[in-house]
Amino acid sequence: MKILVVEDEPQLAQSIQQFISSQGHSCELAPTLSDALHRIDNLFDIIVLDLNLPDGNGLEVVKKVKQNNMLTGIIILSARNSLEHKIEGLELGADDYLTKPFQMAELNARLKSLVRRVHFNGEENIVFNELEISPGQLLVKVKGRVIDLTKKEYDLLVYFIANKNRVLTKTGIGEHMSKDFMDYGFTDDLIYSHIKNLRKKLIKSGCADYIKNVYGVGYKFTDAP
Amino acid sequence: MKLLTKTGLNFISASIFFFFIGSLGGYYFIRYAVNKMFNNELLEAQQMVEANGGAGLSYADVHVDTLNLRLDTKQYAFTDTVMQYGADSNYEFYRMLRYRRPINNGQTVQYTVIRSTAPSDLMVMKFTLMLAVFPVIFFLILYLVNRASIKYSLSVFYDTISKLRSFDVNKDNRLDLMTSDIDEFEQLNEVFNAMERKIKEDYERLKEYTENTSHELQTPLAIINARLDELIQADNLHEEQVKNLAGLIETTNRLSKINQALIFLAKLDNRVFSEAEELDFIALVQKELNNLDVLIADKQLAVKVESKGGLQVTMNTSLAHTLIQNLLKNAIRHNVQGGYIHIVIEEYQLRISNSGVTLKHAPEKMFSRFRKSSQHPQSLGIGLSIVKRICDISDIAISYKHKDNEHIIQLLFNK
Repeated sequence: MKILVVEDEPQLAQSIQQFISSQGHSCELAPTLSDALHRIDNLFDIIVLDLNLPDGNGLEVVKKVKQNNMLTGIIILSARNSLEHKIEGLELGADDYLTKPFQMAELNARLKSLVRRVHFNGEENIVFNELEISPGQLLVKVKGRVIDLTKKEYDLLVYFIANKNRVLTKTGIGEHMSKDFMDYGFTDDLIYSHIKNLRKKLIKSGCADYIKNVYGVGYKFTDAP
Repeated sequence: MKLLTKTGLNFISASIFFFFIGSLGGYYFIRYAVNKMFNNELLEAQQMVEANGGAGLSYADVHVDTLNLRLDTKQYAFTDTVMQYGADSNYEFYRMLRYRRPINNGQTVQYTVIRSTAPSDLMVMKFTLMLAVFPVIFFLILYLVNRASIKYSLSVFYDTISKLRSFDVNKDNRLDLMTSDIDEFEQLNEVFNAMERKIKEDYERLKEYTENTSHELQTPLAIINARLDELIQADNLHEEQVKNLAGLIETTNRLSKINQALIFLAKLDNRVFSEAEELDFIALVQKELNNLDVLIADKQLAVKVESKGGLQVTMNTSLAHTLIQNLLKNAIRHNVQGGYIHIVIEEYQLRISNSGVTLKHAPEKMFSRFRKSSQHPQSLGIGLSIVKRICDISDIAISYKHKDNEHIIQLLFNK
């Protein structure tokens, strides 16, 4: 998968690049708007786009992608957490919107779900050992048997699998679960309750206990012992 | 004390004082003039008696006595006296002249001339009365006219005061003070108008500054987050290092949450959320309760929603959600294990009561920023201040009270 990161802040751009590379994708950086406009072509699967660029508004990139009917998915990164900006970006044709500061795990989950949407119309199943998730129907199967999860538990499982083998902080999980516009302060105890319930359901249906507690930090979804 | 009352009182007390002195002076002056007149008349009568035995004298009685008394010069003295004519009649006031003149053989002739003062006493009384009554009426009229005029002139001043009192730096309306033909008030209003512009400008600048700062902080926070996330993924960390990193992540998280809350407050102040629509609060409360059901189940809280009437309110949707969500989260967070939340919805009223521990700080400070109890390090102490701001701009009266271990928050919606 080929990803273009349009971000003027070198430190952040570098972090994103490192992260994407570590996930096994190829990643290129464009620090300015003109650079980005110059480089976009059909070969990029996804563009991660900062809106406040030194030489102009990042929305120009969205416009160009849509005008040329490219199949490229776009995730907007913005420091402005306002509904209007969000709506404007999404209306122009961006696929997702992430507010700074964001968690890498969150960006990763969004990237993966976007790839599924762009390339497989969301029909590709996510498989992890005995677990099988059909994102199109929001179905989760363990060894072929459907298990009943709430919307939040389902979200949590998909997020865990997208970030498998990574330490996920409680903060990151909290932010992922609070998708509402002004829902800050998703408490640790709430996350704990959700994870406890999800774990219980998975184990009951015969799934191995993949959700490991990382003391003091958060959780890790892994099949490593 | 009002200016009008104060000046009125001063005027009245000064008038009464000067009036009293004036009337007293007038009385004595009249008395003196009348006595002078009587004295002249008495002397005249005495001279008439001496000259022609008192023929044609009608206004005074004259007694002439001869005394065995040696005098060198003439003597006379005027006195007031009281006499009774006949046993049954009343005492009457008289003016009396006692005139003594030596005659040749070592004897003295004494004329006693008396004249009733009754008619003139009446006159003096009338004069004094007039002296008292007319000025009273005069001053009263003067006072009323003065009062009306001051009141009229002060109307601009009172208008300024009432407008200043309702001045809110957060509201959009201008101060718009009345113009006046009185220079002092005109100057005062000019000063206030200029001050208002300055305050609003400064306030706008401050808000802009807060918002810009908060936004500028987002990117550095994103970088710290990303770097911390990389660090924590390493496999070869000691337990001590993991602990330190966990602390850093926690702190950075707090920082970004505070920042987000500040941005949200700035947005509230800038009236970003002005679109309003009609909302059903019963459905809203149910929806937010569903979102929080895991948390409620975790604390084993008994939730009871009682609706005594529909609550339809026109307000911004996202503000309404934030409001109810914050209040419910608060009711859950500060609750005790196995406690209760009781929500009563009435027409124009919503009441959330919950069990909890006794409040440590003053209830009035409940809604101020960064006020928090130490048992909940997770809470930023900014949630209720957001609630307060939302209530302020949505015209909702919020009140808090606690009784023993029960905490009650009440929202009163404007009809």
